[in-house]
Parts: sequence; structure tokens; C-alpha cells
Amino acid sequence: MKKLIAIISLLFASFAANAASQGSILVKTVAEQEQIVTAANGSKSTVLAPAKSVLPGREVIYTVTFENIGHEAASDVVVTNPVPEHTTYQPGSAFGPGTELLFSIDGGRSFAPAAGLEVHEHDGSVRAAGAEDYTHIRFVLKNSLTPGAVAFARYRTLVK
Amino acid sequence: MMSVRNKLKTLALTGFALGMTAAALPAGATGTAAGTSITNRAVVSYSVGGVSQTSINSSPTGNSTPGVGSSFGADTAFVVDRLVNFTLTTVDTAAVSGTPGQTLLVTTFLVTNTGNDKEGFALSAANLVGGTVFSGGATNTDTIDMANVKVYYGPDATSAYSSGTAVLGNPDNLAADAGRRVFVVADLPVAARNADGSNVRLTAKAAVAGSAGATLETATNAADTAGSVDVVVAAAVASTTAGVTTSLRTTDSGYTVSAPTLTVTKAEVVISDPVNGTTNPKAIPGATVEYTLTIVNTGATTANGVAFSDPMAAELSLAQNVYNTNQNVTITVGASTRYCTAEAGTDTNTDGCVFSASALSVNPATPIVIPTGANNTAVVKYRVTIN
Repeated sequence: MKKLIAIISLLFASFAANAASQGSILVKTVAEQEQIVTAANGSKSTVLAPAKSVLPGREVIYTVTFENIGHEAASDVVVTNPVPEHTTYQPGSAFGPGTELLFSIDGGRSFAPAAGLEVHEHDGSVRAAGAEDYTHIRFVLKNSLTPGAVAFARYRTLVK
Repeated sequence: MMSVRNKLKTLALTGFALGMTAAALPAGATGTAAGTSITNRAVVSYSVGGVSQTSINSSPTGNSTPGVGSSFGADTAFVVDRLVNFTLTTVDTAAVSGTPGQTLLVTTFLVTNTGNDKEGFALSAANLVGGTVFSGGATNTDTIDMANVKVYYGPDATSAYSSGTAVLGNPDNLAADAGRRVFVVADLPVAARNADGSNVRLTAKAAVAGSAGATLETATNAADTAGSVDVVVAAAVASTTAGVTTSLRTTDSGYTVSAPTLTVTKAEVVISDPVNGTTNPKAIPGATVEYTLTIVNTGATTANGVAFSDPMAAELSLAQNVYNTNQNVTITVGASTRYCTAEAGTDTNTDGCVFSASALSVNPATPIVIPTGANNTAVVKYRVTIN
């Protein structure tokens, strides 16, 4: 019995240490641009390359990769990503396999599906929110992320 | 695991390709300023075993350390590069009209910085030789050459040329989307004739701001990096020589000459001779002959100060006191007739008419002005006697 308690407390100790230094999910964001690559046979293909040569009017694709590096399934996984300053969200571009898409137009305070968002203008009029109004994009994973599983969420922006 | 990841990526890219078109560069709009760092940090919240965990911020390489706030995770960032782009247009809607010998004739252009950083420009202008180039949209044959071609720039994008504000040289430090009027100033040769045309070409190259046009903007050739502000020369202005890409635009404007065109005809009529009197007189010694000079202005502008000289053979003498009692030259422009006296030797009455060195010189103190249109003809008469 004593031995068991010792083991349990040891387990707890290691879990506490883990909680402070490492969570169960590895989160990575990359900014990329489409690049057209011409193969030796002349065929062209579009690949993603890290965003380096970025000018106003160019498109930058953000991809958030989240991997369960823990030993238990992660549930209620929600990825929230602010639309970067100086960029505009490209309508219809948000995409995450197995996720529900929500948007915020108030700096991330509230989120709703795109269809339900309305902008209240200063003059009292109300209009449907457009892509340029989005401040944050939220990807809500419908299922649990099992240990070792990788999911990702992606959207496109246009540099203003 | 890798296979699942790859499958997902492929799927996502395919989904994206549908209905998405490559975005074009906005024309003439100030974009995000060069050097601006664009940052992004995602946050993931999750539960394990039904217990909500501390959220985790993203980093470019992957972060798993939980924590809320900017000290956790790291920004995924890149720096906006510098776009070198500009437009150069002529503001003139027609060739600029000038008179022969007129100096400081101004054609007007507009250079606009359409890049995303402040820019300087190296400007040069040249007279074009021959060809058919600018005449306010129509082609115009280039028949003469402008002299003393210089380039000035104005204080803003709208002010017309003023010698008080125009500055000789290269405009510098134009903010993104800012424009400057550019003036090509040149002289028309005296030899120009009515309806002659001349074209000038303005060349602009983007130059590093602060260099007063001395250092041209050059595209960064080395591999781009996310953290550096690289120079990209827009395709619309790019000019590559031996692997070095700079920028270049040219635009033409033109001049047209508006001048009087005078045609002179001289007619003679024998008035009388010592044998026949005024009945069928013949040109024999002692006969009087009347010369009529008809000067017609078929040009575009009034001819001011028309003067002429008519050398006379030694066998002829100017007839005196034949018009208006005691005068010997009549000058008629339109309906108005006046007279002058061409004295022999010296113009003692300073009326501008004199007969000396075997030539009649008519350059009246009150100048002969021949307009265009209805009264475009001057008629000058004088008589001679055959010695």
C-alpha cells in the first residue's frame, strides 16, 4: 500500500512538472506563399514556400498545425488565430478538416458562424459582416485529437 | 502518421484551388509600408480527461509550453518587402504651342510613386529626332529640334509650372502614392516655321530616397529572407541589363510651332513714259514704274514688325513726292493706308523708310502688323524711274 502511494505521488509529481513545462499539444504556425514551380518537363505546379518576398497585394497563407504529443486524447480543441494586422482575410479561404468555423468581428471577444455576423454601423444601419471585418478566425475541432494525431487549420490573407 | 499529414495537406490544397484566383497587385494604392513586420500567433485551447488545460500559443517551429500572454510561444513573422513602382504620364493634352525663337517652353508630366516606400527619381529629357510621336493623342511629325532641354520638378502633383517654384533637378523623398509635376523646359529654334513639330522624351528611373537621383533603385538579387526588406522592382517598370534590374519609364510630349507665314509677291506696272505719257506707257528710259509688294500672312499668328528691303538696280531711281503730296511709299494693311518718306541717304525724319546703298528699306517706326484672317494682307507701293 505504501509502495502504491509512493508510485502515485511520483506520478503526480511528474504530471505537475509536465503541466508547467509542456502541454499535450505542439502548436506551430507557418506563413507561406504559393510558388509556381516549373518541372524539367515544363509542367507547372503550385507549391507552398515560406513567406519571404512579400509585397502589398500578395497572398499569404497561414497554416496552424496542432499535434497531440501527449498520451491521452485532447478534447474541445479550439484553435483561435487573429487575422494579422495589415492583412485582410480572403473570403471563403478558411479550412480545417473536421472543424467548425467561427469568426469574430470584435477583436476576439465573441465568435459566431460567418452567416450570423452583423456589423452595426455608426449611423445605426446593420449590414452582414464581410471578410474585411473579421478580426479572428476560430477552428473548433469536432472530434478529439488522439495521441499522435496531427490536425491543421489554414486560411489565406491578402497583404494590404 | 506522416501519410495522414500528407493526405490532409493535399486535400487542403485541392480545396483551396477551387474558386480561388491569384490576387493582382492593386494599382496605384499605397500598400502596407515596406519594413512592416506582419505577425501572427495562434492559440489552442483543449481539455484532457474532461479538464480544461492551459492554452498553448503557437510558434514558427512548434511550441508546447502552456501559458497565456505574449511571453509564451512566438510570433510567426515576415517583413513586407519594398516595392519599387511608379507611373509617368504627360499632363499635356495637346502639343505645347510656341513661336520661333521662344525660350522656356514647358511641357508637363506627372510622376507618381506607386510603390510602398518613399522614393526618389532620376529624371532626364531629350529632344527626339524625327518620327511621329506626340501631339495630344494624334501623331505629329517631328520636323525640328528643341534646344536647351532641361528638367524641372514642381512642389506638388497639381501646380502648373512657375519659375518661382520649379526646381532644376531630381525630385526626392516622394512618399508612397505621392506625385510630382515634372516640367521639361526647352527653347524653340528661331528657324522654326509655322506648323513645325518637335517631340521630347522624359525618362524617369526610381532612385534611392535621399540620394537626389544619384543611386538607382536596384532589385535585390540575393535569395530573399523573411526578416529583411528586399527591393522588388515591379514588372511594369523593370529594366534588366546584365543581371541587374533597375526601373525605367519614358513618356513623350511635344511642341508645335505657331508662327506667321509670309508670302511676298512683287508686281510692276509702267505708269508713264516720256513718249507715250500715261497711254500704253513703255519701260523706256525716263519711264515711271510702280512696284506693288503684296505680303500675305497665311500662318497661325500675327506678324509683328514686318520690314523689308528691296535692292534696286543702278538704272533705277526712287520716284519722289508721288503719294499723299510729298511722300513716296504707301503701306496698306486691310483698309488702313499710311505713307512714309524714303529719303536718299539718311532717314532724317526717322519714319523708318530710307533709300540708301541702292536699296529701299522699309521698317516703319510704327511697325507694320499683319494679322491672320480677313485683313491678312499688306500692300506696299512705291515708284521708280528708269534712268
